[in-house]
Amino acid sequence: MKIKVKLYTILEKYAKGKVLENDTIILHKGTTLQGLSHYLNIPDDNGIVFLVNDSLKDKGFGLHEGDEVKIFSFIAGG
Amino acid sequence: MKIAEINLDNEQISYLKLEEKDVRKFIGGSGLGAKLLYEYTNHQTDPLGPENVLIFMTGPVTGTKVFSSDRFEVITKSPLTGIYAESDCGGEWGEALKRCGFDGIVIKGISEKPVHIVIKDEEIRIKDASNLWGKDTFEVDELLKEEIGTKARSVCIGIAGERLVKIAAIMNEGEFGRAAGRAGVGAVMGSKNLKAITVLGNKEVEIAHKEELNQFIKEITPHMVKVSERLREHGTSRDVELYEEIGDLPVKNWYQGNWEEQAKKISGPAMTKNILTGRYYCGRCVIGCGREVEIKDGPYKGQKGAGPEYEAIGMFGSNCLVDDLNVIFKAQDLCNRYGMDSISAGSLMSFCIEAYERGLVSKKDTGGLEMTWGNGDAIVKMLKKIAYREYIGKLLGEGIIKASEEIGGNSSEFAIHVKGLDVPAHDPRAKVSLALGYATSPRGACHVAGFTHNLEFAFALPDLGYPKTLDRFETEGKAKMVADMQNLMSLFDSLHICKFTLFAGMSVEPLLKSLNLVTGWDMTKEEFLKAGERIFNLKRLYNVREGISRKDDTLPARLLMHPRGGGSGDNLPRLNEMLKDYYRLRGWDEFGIPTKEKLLELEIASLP
Repeated sequence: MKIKVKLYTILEKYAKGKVLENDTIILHKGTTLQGLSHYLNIPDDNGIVFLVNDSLKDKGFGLHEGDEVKIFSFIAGG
Repeated sequence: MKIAEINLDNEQISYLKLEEKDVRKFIGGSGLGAKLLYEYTNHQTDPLGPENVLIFMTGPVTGTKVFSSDRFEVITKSPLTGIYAESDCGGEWGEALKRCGFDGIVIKGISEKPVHIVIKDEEIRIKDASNLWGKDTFEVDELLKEEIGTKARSVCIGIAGERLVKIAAIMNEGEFGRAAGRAGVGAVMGSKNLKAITVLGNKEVEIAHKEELNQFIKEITPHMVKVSERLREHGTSRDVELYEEIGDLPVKNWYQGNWEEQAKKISGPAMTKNILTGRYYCGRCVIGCGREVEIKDGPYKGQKGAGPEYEAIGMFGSNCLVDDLNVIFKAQDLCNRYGMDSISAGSLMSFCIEAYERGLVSKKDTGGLEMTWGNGDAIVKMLKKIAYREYIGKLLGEGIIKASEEIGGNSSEFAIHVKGLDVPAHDPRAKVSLALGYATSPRGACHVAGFTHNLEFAFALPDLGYPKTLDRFETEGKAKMVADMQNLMSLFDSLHICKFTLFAGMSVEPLLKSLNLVTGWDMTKEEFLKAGERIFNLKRLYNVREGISRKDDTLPARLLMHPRGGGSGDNLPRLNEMLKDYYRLRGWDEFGIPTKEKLLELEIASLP
């Protein structure tokens, strides 16, 4: 299935070579956010945030064709 | 423990005698500071009168190798809110005071003429400050480094504090500095005719188990450094885009939902790309969230200084619809120079703009300025009017309650504050625990008194009983989490450690271990958390004595009743529901007053 992925701030580097120029990525059907995160080699740290179609989701969420995923590494500011 | 009392009425200096059991009960920092304030002042104390005290407190771990411990707290009765005030500050002044042999100082009385206190080792002198009066905080810091020495560290007030502007801050470290910003502590300093306090000392800070502490710090350093990289790279504003996405970033005086494209222009990564020249650190810090910037174009081209923090970006930027980082830099720079709280100043700007746009404030009132959305130039000019008390700036400088009362109309609808303290740049409609936190924080709307929003968004704290992140819109369970986090944050403010270390693993157990290794105490986790609860309740008691109760524990209607859309959609915090649970869990009655049983349990029932 084809989904869109956008990585922010310090996570941008994990897109290299895996996410295509138009922010798309091809994954096996049923891949979870955890699976996507592993595929992109994003460290499993406290503070990784996933938005799927602009809604917050946890790591176990199963992705669907056409979903738009935004991944942030969050640390609370002042 | 050594605390000096400096009476500016007669220039007498004495030393407080504290009982060991009280030190252990209240720990230091804002805990002991709150106890002293409770004893020194009462409900009749005029915040700007001679009977109010201005207390500077370090914590037991200040000046040791414990991460980000070089901090101090200013505690006083607020001229802005009329209730308890504390304001935390980084930099290097806290350790420098400790190296003079003092854990804290209490300033009382009012000097007849402007003065400057100089503490060199244990010698305290009160000097004439007529050469400093009228100067901005950057100039004062530079002059004092020339006069006393480059290793000397100073706190001072600017023009705003001298003129008793109610949102005046106490500044530290000059251009690349830090602020004890909130609740008008700078106006209290100004009311005492006290321009600056300089400290320079060489004493070693006593550590009970030095070797074990060194070993402990060595063990946790790699993780702390690694996790801190996230905050170091783009500073406190690194997540502006994310906050906009989820509806946390205030937009158009807390009214609007999305502002996506503009938010990108004022984010931490945009600052890094366009104007960043370096980073700076507080003492004992491995994070380095401070930004050094140089403006490359426009009317401020060539100006250098501290880059804006997240709060300044939220309050002067998105909340005023200003999408120009150069303007936001200038606004924060002026706040630092004049010595004003950038959160309250930003809030007053969006309030004034909305009042102007609604026809409640005229161009005549503003001295010719067009206070319209996105007009950065007008904002920069209005900040000067607040500091110098000109035109409507004089009224705005009295604080948002007074300003709203005078402006009239429906302006109270869009005066966004709790108990007179302006709401900081995190939206309780995006993370509902903030609603309860703002309603019950001891100083009014404050996001760091509970720091709860992090547990509703990507973070967990297993050693406080929160192994999983909570749902940000869910009401259930939030009352307990808010109370637990407020107790823990009371400990951070008392030890005195930067709360950003929490994200790098400095939670309950490492915090307690640090305290025990430094002091030689054998405090248990239960005793430690009880101290946090005691300290929080003491601050509540102070406010109850000032007349605070359930009627005041609320939020502006805009945050409770207006769905902003965007990333938080139509979600609204169910404050009453959370508050009812919270009072019960806290052992407070239905009016929000701590019960006798609770006070006995916390061993503070004997306070008058």
